Amino acid sequence: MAARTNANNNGSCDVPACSTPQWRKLRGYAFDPVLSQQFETAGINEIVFKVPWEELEPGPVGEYVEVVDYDPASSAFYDPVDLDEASIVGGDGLDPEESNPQFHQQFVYAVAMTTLRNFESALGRKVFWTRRDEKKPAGKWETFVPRLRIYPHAFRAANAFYSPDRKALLFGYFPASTNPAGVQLPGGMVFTCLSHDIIAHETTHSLLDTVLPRYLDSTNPDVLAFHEGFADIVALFQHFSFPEVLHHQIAKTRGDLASQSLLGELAQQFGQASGLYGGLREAIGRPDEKGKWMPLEPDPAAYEQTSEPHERGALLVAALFDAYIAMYRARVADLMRIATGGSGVLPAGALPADLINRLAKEAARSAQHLLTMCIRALDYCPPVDITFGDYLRALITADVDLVPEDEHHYRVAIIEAFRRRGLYPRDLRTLSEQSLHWPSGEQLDDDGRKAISLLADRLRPLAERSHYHEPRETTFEFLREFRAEIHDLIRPRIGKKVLGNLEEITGLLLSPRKKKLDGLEISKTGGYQFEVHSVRPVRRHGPGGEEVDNIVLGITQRRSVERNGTWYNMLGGCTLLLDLDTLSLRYAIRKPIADPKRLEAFQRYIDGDTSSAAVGLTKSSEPIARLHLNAVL
Amino acid sequence: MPKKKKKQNGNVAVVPKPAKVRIRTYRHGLGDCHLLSFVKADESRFHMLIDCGVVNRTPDPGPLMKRVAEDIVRETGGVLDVVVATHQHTDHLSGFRQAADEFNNKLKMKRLWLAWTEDPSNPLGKKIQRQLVKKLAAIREAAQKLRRVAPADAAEINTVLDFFGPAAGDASSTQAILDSLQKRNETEIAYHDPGDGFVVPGLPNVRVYVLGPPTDPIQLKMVNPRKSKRDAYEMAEIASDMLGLVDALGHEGGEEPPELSYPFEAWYRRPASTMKRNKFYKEHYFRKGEGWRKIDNDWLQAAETLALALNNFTNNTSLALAFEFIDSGEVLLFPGDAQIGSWLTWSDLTWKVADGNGEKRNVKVADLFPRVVFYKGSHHASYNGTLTGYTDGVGLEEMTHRDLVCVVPVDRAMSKKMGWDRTLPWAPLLQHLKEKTRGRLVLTDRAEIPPTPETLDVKLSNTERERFAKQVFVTDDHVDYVL
Repeated sequence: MAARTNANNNGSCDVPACSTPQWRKLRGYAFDPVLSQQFETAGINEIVFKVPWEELEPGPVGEYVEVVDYDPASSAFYDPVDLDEASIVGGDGLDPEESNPQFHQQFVYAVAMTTLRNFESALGRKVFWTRRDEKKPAGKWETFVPRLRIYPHAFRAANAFYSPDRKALLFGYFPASTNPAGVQLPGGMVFTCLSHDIIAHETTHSLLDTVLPRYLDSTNPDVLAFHEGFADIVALFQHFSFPEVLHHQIAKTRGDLASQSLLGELAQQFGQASGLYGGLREAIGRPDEKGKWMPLEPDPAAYEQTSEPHERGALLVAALFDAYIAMYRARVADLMRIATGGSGVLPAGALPADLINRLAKEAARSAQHLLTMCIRALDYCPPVDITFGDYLRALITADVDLVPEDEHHYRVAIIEAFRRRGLYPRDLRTLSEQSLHWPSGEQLDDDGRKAISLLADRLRPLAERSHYHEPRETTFEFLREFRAEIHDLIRPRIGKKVLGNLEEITGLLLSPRKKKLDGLEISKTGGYQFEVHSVRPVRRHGPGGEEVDNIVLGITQRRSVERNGTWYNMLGGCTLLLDLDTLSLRYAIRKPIADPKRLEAFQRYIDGDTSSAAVGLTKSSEPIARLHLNAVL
Repeated sequence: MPKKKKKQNGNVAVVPKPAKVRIRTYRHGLGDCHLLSFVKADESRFHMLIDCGVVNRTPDPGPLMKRVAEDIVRETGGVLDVVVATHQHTDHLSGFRQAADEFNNKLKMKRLWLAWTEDPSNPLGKKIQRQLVKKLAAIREAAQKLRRVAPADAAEINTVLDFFGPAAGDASSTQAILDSLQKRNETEIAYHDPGDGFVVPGLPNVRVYVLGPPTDPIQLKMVNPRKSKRDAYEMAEIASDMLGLVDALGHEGGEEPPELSYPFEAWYRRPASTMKRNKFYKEHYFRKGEGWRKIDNDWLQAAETLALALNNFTNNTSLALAFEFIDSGEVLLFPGDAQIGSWLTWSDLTWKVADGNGEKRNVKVADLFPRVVFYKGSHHASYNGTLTGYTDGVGLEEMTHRDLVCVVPVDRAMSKKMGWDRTLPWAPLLQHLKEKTRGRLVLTDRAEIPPTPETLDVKLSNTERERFAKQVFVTDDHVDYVL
C-alpha cells in the first residue's frame, strides 16, 4: 500500500512521467509448468509480461478485472496478492511458483490484461464487459459490469470456462493422470490457470462476447466453432508474439528456420498438459510413428465433414496458422539472403546470436500483426450467424480499409490458406480480393442515403464523446442511451417510404408487407421488431495518417421457427459501418431474416446437428463450459 | 395381472419356422431384452437371453417387465441355456429384479456370460468395480448437496445416476442384480475376454467371437467420436477420472479428505468460516447484491460430468459379441451398448479358428463385418454408439452384406422425457443405418410405423423384398427376426 501512495503523490518528483510508471512488469511462465518439467526449455520457461500500469487493490482488483481466489471444493480462501507492494513491484512480480496461490493470482491477471490490451489497441476503443440484463418490476434493466471476475481455482476438473451469466472466468485444477506413460507428471497437480494459452483462450471468449454477444447462439455449425477457433487463434498468436518463446526453438533448429515443424511443434505444446485444445494440434499436424512431427496436408473436404465445434474451429486456426507461416517466411527472406551471402545455405555451427534475435523478432512481429488483423476484423462481421466464409471476408475488408496496398501479400496468403482448407463463402464466383471485399453501401438510393446521413449525423457527438477520458461507466450509460435513441430514430420512419431501399441493402425487415413473415413479431407501433444491440465507435488512423471516425451498429432480429414440435430462434440482422466524416454507409454486412435460403439452412442445422444437441440449441446457462466438456469427455 | 392382455395381431401366427435362429426383441420401452432361439440339429431349441431391462423413469415398470418375463417363460419352457448380462445399467438389467418371480422360480439359467470387468478374480476388474462404487457415492453426495441450492442440476445428475439404479447395497442396484445372478446355484458362469472365440456347447454350427470390452482401461474411457485415435486416447486419459472431485466428496463418516488432494499447503488455506469477516472477501465475494457471481456450486456441478463419464465408461464395459453360423458364414452382431472406445479396439483382435478339416486360420473383425446380417443397434443408436467414418477402425461402413437388417431398441418419447431426445437416438445415425440396410431398419418404439416390404427402399429387388417379408415380424410386444 505504501508503495502506491508514494508512486502517486511523490511531491519531490516534478517530471510528470515519473509519477506513475507506464508499465507494470510481471514475471510468468512461457509454457505450461507441467510441460516445462519435461520440455528441453525448462531453463528458459520464464517471460516478463508488460501490462499497462494501473493502480491495483489486493486481488489483484483493477479497472477491468478482479481476481477472487475462492476454492469451494477445498472450502478454502487464499489471501489476495497485493501487486503494488514495494517488494513485489521491485521484483517484477512474485517468483513463478506453482505452489504459491498468490503467484497464480498474479499470473491470471497478467495474461488476462495482456489479452485485453491486444483487443483495445486492435479495436481502437475501450472494452465494456457485456452488460448484465436483469428483469426488474419496471421492465428490463441493463446494468454496467465494471470488472470481469476471475476465479483461478473454481473447481476440480480438467476444464476452464467463461461464464456469460456471471461475467466471470472459472479455472479448474486436477491431479495429473496416474498413468506414468502419459504426458503429465504422474500424481502432480495441474492448474489450468497457469497456462498462458488457457487464460488467453478464456479471456478471449469473454472479449468476443463483448463485441458480438449473439455468437453464443448456435445457429449454424460455424458459430460455436468460430468462438472456439477464434479463442485459440488469439491465444496462439499472442503466445508467439513473445520473441523469447520462439528464440530457443529458432536457435535449436538452425538451418531449418522456416520449416513448418519448428512452429508447428511449438503449437503442439499448446494446452497439452490440460488435455484441452487437442483439436488445434490435430488440424495442424501430428507426430508420425517415430515421434517426428509431420504437418497435416490441408483437406478441403474436411470443412464439409467436420461438425464438432472444436474440430471445426481447428480448421480456422489451421488456416490462419498457414497464413502466419507464409507471412513469416516472406518477412525473413531478405534476412536469410543476407545471412547466407545469397546462397541460402547457412554456414555450419551455431547461428550468430544477432541472427537468432532478428529472426525471433520477425516471427513475433508477424504473430502480433496477424493477431491485430484477426481482432480488428470483428467489427466487419455480421452480428449473428457467422460462417468462416464471412470471417474471411471481414478479414480482407478490414485490412483493405487500413492498408489499401497489399505490399507484402498478406491478404493473398490468407485467402490462399482459407481456400486450401475449404473455408470460403459458397456464394461467390471467385475468391479474389475484390470479390471477397464486402460490397460497399453505395447501392443505396437517395432516400436510403438520406436516412443514413440523418443517422450518422446524430451519431457524430457520440464519436466525439466516446474518446473523452471519462469513467467507463459514464461512457457505457451514454452508449446505452444512444442505442435507444437510434431505435427511436428508425422506428417512426418504418413503412413511410422514407427509408428508400435501406431495407433491401441491409436485409433488415422493418415494414410489414401484404404477406406477413411468420414468426417475426410486430411492435405496437406497427413495424417489425428489431434490436439495436450494439453501438461501437471506432477511431483509427487511415492509410494517409488521417483520423477516421467510424461507427459500427449491430442491429438484430429474431424469428420463431417451429421444428418437430419445438420452437427455435432464427436470428437475422445487419452490421452497419457508418463513416461519420462523409455521413455515408460504408458497408452493410447482412443476414436477412426473411431469406428463404437461410431459413432452409437453419432447419437443416436443427435436424442434423450433433454437437448442438448437447451445446447450442438446448439452452444452457453455461454454454462455454458445455462446449469445453464436450471436447474433453 | 390387472391389465387385460391385448389381442395379438393376426400376423403372429404366420411367423415361419426359423432355419437357424429366431431373434425376439421386446418392445417394452427404453431398454434391451433379446431372446435368441437357435435351432439345434435335432430341431429342438437353444435359448439365449441377452439382457432384460428398462430405464428407471419408466412408469410402473414392474408389470411391464413381468409381461416380458412371462413371454420368455412361455417361449423357452422355463430353460435358458445362456443368459448374457452385457453391462451394469438398469436398462439392461432391471427386469431380472422387477420380474424376480419369473426369473427366480420359473426359469432355469444354465450358463451366465459376463464381461471380464465383472470377474471378481480379475484385479483390474475388481479395481474398476471398487472405483465405480466410490465414484457413484461421490456423485450421489454431490447430487444430494445440490438438491436444495440447484435442483435442476441435481435432477440432471440423477437422470444419469438412474442408469445405475439405487445406491450400492440396495437390492435393485445394478450391482446387486449382477451379484444375485452370479449366486445362482444351477448356473455356470463364464467371464469373457476380448479375443475369446469358441463354439457354443450344444450348438456346433455357431461360433462366438468376443469383441469387447477392451482390456485397456484408457480405451474403456474413450467415448466420443474423434478423427484421430491418438488424440482421443490422450483426452480420455486426462479427463475422465476427476479424482480431485471424488477426493473432495465421497469420504464416509466425516473423515478428512487426504491432504494431498488439496492444491496448496495448509498454511495458505483460510477456512470459509472465518472469511465472511475478511475485508477483501466481504467486499469482493460476499457482498449483498453480488450473489449472482458466486461459484459455490460449480464444483459440485462438475459431478454431472463425472456421472456422464461413468455412464459412458460403463457402456464401454459391455460384453460385445458376434455369432457366426459356421456353415453359411452369416454373422449376428450384439455389441451391447459399446461405444467408440470399445469399437476402435476390435480391429486389433485376431481369433485363431480351426476349420472343419482341422486347418487353422486367423479371423479379424474385418472378415466378420461384411457378413453381418443382423445388427442390434448399439446404445439405442446414440451418436457415439456405432463406429462410423473412422479410417482406422472397422465399423458400420464395413457392414456390407446385402441382407443386412438392423433392430434398435429405442423409445423416443422416453428419451424426450429425459432430455436426451436429440442424441438417443441420433437422427443422422438412423439415416445412415437406413441407407446401409436399404430401409430394413426396425426401431422398437411406436413413434413410426415399422418398415414393411412395400415401404422398403426402391432399390431393393423383389427377391429381397420377399426375403424381408419372411424375416421380420413386428407385433405390439416384440420384433421377431427369423433366419
